[in-house]
Amino acid sequence: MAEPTNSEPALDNLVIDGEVIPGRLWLGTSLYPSPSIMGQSLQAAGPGFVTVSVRRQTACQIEDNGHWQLIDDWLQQSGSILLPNTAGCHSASEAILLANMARELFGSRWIKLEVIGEDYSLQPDPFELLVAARELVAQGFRVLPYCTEDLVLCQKLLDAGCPAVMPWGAPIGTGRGLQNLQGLKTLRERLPEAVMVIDAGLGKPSQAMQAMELGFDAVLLNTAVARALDPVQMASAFAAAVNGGRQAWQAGLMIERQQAQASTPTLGLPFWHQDGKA
Amino acid sequence: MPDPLQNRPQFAIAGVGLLGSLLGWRLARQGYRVNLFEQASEHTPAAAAYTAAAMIAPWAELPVCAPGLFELGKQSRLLWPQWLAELQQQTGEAVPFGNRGSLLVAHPADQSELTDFAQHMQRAGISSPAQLQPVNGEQLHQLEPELAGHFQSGFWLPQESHLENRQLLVLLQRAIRQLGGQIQYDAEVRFGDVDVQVNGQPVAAEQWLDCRGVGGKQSNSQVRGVRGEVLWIEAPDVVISRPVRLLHPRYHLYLVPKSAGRYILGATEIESDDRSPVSVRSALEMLSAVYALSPKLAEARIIELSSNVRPGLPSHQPEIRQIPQGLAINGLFRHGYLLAPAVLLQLQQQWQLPLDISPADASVDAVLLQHALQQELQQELQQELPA
Repeated sequence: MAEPTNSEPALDNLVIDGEVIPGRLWLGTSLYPSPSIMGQSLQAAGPGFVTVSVRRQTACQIEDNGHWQLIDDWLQQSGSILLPNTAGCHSASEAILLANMARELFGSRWIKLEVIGEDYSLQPDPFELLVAARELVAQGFRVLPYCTEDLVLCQKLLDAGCPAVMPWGAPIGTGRGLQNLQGLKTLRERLPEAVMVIDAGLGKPSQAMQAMELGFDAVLLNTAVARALDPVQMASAFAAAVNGGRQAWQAGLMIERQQAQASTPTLGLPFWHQDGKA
Repeated sequence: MPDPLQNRPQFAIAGVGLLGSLLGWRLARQGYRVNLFEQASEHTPAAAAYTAAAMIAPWAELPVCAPGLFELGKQSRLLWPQWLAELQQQTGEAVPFGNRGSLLVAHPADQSELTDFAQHMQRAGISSPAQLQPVNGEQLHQLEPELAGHFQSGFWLPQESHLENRQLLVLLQRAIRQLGGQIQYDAEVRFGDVDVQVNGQPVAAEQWLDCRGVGGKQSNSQVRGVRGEVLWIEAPDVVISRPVRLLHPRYHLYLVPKSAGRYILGATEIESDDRSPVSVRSALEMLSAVYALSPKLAEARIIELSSNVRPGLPSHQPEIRQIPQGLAINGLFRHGYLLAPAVLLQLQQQWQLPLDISPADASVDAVLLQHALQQELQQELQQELPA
């Protein structure tokens, strides 16, 4: 981590697999009221990565896909990085195929690897995920897997060569925030060197800020912005929260204490007051 | 004897979908000579308007549509009944127009979708019972007895309506011909720098109106296709009298009653201009929704699965733009029936097209009309809804 510099509360760079990612808020591109509002929201958020899902049946028509052209135009002018994802896959083989199609279509080695194990909660399938991650890493992909907060799974994904892991906060689209706070804290403590991104389940800027304060390196979300009454303003709010949370992590949060402690020094007060007896 | 029409402007319309047909009809009624050109064959219609469910649902669409469309939608809601009456007067045939409102429901596990909808209504200042009625399970059952019993809450949007679009399109084309207009099918229109060619031959007109939707990329390069898939079922024994929308975190699905015991269920929304047949996945999603809305529909017969492509602009709002040969109108997207009459009113007011629309029908008098409608609805509410 870079040293905080003089008076500027500059954010440290996020580096994944040797590449500087230009932002710690990452955004999806579905569910917006219109492509124009999506564009304005991206502008307001300044996301590091922008995710796009690929559908097997329609992937071959990407060249004249108007929606993709709009995203591509925005990527060209903004510097954000495209992150294709394998949304909707239920097995390693499906995800591997889709990742290869995405690489061919978009000319990018980045892939958000998503393998769903349970349809109702859209919970990742850890077993298929690991199989797919190993294979895709071997094929030269930069794999960012969407996973649960299980420590052993995250460790194995990192061992497999994933340059980062993306544990969920809560099921996709629920907006419930960090459901297993203790598990996520443990993950951060036990894997201090790993790049970890909270992906899915964030509904409020305060939840994104909480993730950043815990030391997660970035957050990825979609619904909370796209389905807000005013998506553009919500994108700004999330950007501010992510910045604030990262600054707080860099600055070093105070440790919680059991006992009240006056923040203004009370000069001349004898030490025996501390036991509560006058 | 001199032709009294000779000095009138002459209009040529590219695209015989909803917009082209409505424009052709309104112009022909005024005595203008109108020629329409459609790329598809007469008996294999390709217009998105043919595949659509044809709801006029400004309230239900408000949370998922671009700002400003709500007001246009309300204008259209007021213009449609009058236009359908005029069409009936001319052709002798009535287009069924459902005006019993529509229902929004959600599974008990997805109640937050209803809360989300309520929040959008509140933000838009919509609270009058004539526009929005929260309903409980008993009231839902009262309004639509054949709806599944597990829906315990929802909304009734009493002013929403829907129409029989396939019949409308056929009647509009018949009406245009009756009034002397010509419709040429299998006609590929190409706009050059100055002239316009139809099947490679130059065709002159005083003004061209390009209403081609996704086919009109030539006049507006920002138009993109958004695939939609629908399902038609037939269930004469099951009576659901109003459109019912199933709010769900992942899908926007609705069931719309059509005549002769038929229902249309739609619609997927996929960012692609792919016109290939309906996918297994989409069919499964739609069929699950049918079954969830009313298990009695399990025995319904599937009579059609079709897909088409809606024309969307980046703003998801309609746009009228000047081209060298006239005007190009596009971008009605998912909202053809919701927006077309209001767009025609704009064409008359802002672009001086002689369409014989009384703006009062959609504005000043509309307040009175709405008032009358509200009184009517209050009575209906008292009759239909248990206290």
